[in-house]
Amino acid sequence: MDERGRRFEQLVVPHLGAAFNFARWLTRNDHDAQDIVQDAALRALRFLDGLRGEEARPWLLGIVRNTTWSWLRTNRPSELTARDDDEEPQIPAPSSDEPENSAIRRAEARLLNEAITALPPPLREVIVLRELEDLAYRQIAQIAGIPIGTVMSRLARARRLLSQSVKVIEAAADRQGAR
Amino acid sequence: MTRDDELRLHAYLDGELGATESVEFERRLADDAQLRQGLAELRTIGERIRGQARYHECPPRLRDQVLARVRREQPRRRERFVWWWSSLAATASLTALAAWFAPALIQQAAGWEPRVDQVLDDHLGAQLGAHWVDVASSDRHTVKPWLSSRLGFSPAVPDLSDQGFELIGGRVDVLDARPVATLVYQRRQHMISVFVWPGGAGVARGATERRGYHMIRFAAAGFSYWIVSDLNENELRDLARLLSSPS
Repeated sequence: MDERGRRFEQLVVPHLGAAFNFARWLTRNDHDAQDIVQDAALRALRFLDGLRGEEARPWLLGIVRNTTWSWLRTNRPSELTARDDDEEPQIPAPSSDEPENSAIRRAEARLLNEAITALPPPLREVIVLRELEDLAYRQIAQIAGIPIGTVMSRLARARRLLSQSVKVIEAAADRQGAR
Repeated sequence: MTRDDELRLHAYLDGELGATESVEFERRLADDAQLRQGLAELRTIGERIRGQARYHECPPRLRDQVLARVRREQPRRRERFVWWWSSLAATASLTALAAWFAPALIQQAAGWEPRVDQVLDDHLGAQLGAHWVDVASSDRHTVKPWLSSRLGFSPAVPDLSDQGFELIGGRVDVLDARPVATLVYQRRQHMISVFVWPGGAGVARGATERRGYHMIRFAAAGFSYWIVSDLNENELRDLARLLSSPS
């Protein structure tokens, strides 16, 4: 393996986990996420000379983001045509058979994950980048190709929606506890 | 709660408010029960997301597959590399750009135009985060090379202090997936973002007002401009005139 291959192993490979998690959240399935990470990794190899000084993880996530967006445009255009600031997305409701107290925690986690999955991709990506990757607004803005102000308004909207769905879940759990 | 306050809550919790804004906001939090409740709710949902959202583990097989493909790619690299650079050289203005933007830029069509709401959002984001500039300097000979080294184009950075517009510095912004230069001027207490990017032949001068901010669009000397500020429209038009006239 030549110099570039070694640089790739050093700089890019440690962040393949973050790349996969990000692509997985955006595509919502393992198989497509794997294809995207492979494509993005090859693009990263091609652009590797340009990686200077910036942090490798946000840099790679930017490439993954572009790769995923092209993929979504080709394969699931309907997900992207809905304008992200129009109508509110559907929040999944708790299932009618209320969970056992001991299972409530697990059920909560499952419903929270479903609620994140239900967010439109432009909201989902800022939540994943902020909460799971712990990136700064500025880095998220660069990765998603949007102004910082838009990062802020999308984060606020995404959290508001998730907060609502958590309240719905808690109300269901309270009813369970009161019985 | 106003929209700005809502965004400030998030920025505060995310550690994204500027130092002065942060102190100011804490003072307001102490006085405002509604803000405090908003903060508590946000904390709860934030902890819930970070604690419960799934981090999808990378299948070990994927790592191996990527490495295998990278190794296969090596022998063909030189050939591909030459092709890549020659195609880039055809569009000379692109070659100097940082790789950050290279994937997005190659997809760019001519006649690019950012959406107006993106332009305003960027100005508001800078204001809320109190992050006006990446390079703070009133010296245009500092700001101009800083911008051109990062962007691959070199916008005019005129000194307009005699005309009452003080240069604060510059930043690089991303609007609709494309990097632009942003010059920041100040007049009295009003901050002004001047967005600049190459191109703009045939752009008509226009002005609009959104959410109390004045915005002016024009082109001059091969560059496109958007100016955004809460300064009054007349004075903003003066700035547009000064930026359009050759110095």
